[in-house]
Amino acid sequence: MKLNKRSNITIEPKYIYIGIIILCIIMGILSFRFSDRVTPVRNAISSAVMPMQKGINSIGVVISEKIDYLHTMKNLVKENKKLKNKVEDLSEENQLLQRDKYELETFRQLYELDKDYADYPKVAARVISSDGDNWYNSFVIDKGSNDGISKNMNVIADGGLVGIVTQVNDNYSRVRSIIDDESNVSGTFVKSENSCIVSGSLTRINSGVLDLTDISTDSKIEEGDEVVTSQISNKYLPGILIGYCKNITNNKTNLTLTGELVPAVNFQNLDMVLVITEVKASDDLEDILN
Amino acid sequence: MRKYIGAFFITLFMFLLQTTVLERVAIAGIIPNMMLIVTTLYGFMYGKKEGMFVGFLSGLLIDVLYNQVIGVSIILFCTIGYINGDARKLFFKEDFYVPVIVFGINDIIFNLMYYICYFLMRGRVGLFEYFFKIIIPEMSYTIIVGFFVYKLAILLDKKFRKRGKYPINISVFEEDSKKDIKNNNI
Repeated sequence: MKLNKRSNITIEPKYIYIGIIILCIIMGILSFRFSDRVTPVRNAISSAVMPMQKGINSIGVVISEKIDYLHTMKNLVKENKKLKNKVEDLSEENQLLQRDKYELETFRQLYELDKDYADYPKVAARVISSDGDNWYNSFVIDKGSNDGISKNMNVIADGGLVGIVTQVNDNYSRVRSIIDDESNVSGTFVKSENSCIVSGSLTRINSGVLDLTDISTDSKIEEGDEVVTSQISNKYLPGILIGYCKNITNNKTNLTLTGELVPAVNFQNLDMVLVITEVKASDDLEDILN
Repeated sequence: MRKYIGAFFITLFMFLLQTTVLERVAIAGIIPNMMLIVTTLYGFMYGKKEGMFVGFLSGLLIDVLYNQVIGVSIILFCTIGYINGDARKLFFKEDFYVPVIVFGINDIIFNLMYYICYFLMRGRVGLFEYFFKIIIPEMSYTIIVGFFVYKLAILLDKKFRKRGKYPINISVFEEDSKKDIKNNNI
């Protein structure tokens, strides 16, 4: 740099630009080929940036809380009037319901509504930053390999599937949510036990639904049926609720049914998630696939 | 050298802002592209090299922390910085519509390149749908935010320039600086 300044020789921007592009292509190939060796670099940079992100994120939380607060204030006044009327009606109903309650509890035990995945070991994590652009839907959580998280672990929240861990570093990891355009999850209908594929779609995100495809035509599916992760998936643990189906229609080819899926999780304000620290034992399968 | 250190911290700050705070105040799930704004501004106000430097930093931060392959975002951002080094010659005055046009065109170019690199390569064709659902909303948001950032940048630039702390050889406001020099001489 200094030599250049003294002798007044400056490199033309054109050549710098070409140099950067060549450098990027080499870096791209290297980082794709030897992704394991890049991890220390990622770790070093992330350990510098992460504390700052954490700090600024707390400001963001405060702001969004304030916005929510103003938003709800108006609605609260309206709601209050409605609710007062409702209280009277409800207190009457309550007495009736009290009697039914004992009956219900016995029914519950019979049905065993307790979800399977209550038994999985879990680690709670906080969402600290998101991808930062409008094309993808992945986010970063503040737990990494130091907390026992590894790649392909499932992430849940509010009792539904959120996504899968795609990248793990020492003390943070990246989660790809199921609404991401690249995400595909194989699912099963709880009632009819038909299999299906749930895939995220960028063009449908605004309407709050995911694509539901590859359902066999002879299956009897009703609006609002539960879809859970299936046994045949090689990355997702079985029996985790994904969402509820909607608008099932015949495909153009008449070979399969397609539809929409309303996710069980509210992806708008995801703050805390649970990571299931159990990876589906399919390493052998992955080797075959790779 | 001082200029590059300043650019580094500004880029880092914008990156932190984009990945954390802005995500919380997103309107209809769309956030403005702050990295694009800062890259555009540096290329536009100071030149190709500065634009590419900031573009390189922005791309590197995003790639290293969020992408599997390191390099694609760097190329995209560097291209934006490089293009804007040329665009600098087209504008001379502090017009109202300058930031609107500059940020609008840049955002469209950037997102089209992004679409080609990341989506078309995976066989997602419906460009029009992505254009109206992602690119147009992001563009309008970026223009609005970019307008204020631009005004702020001009204020800061003038302030530092008068004190002589911030060495700029050729700036967008060449005419202004010439007038200043004349006045001082008289």
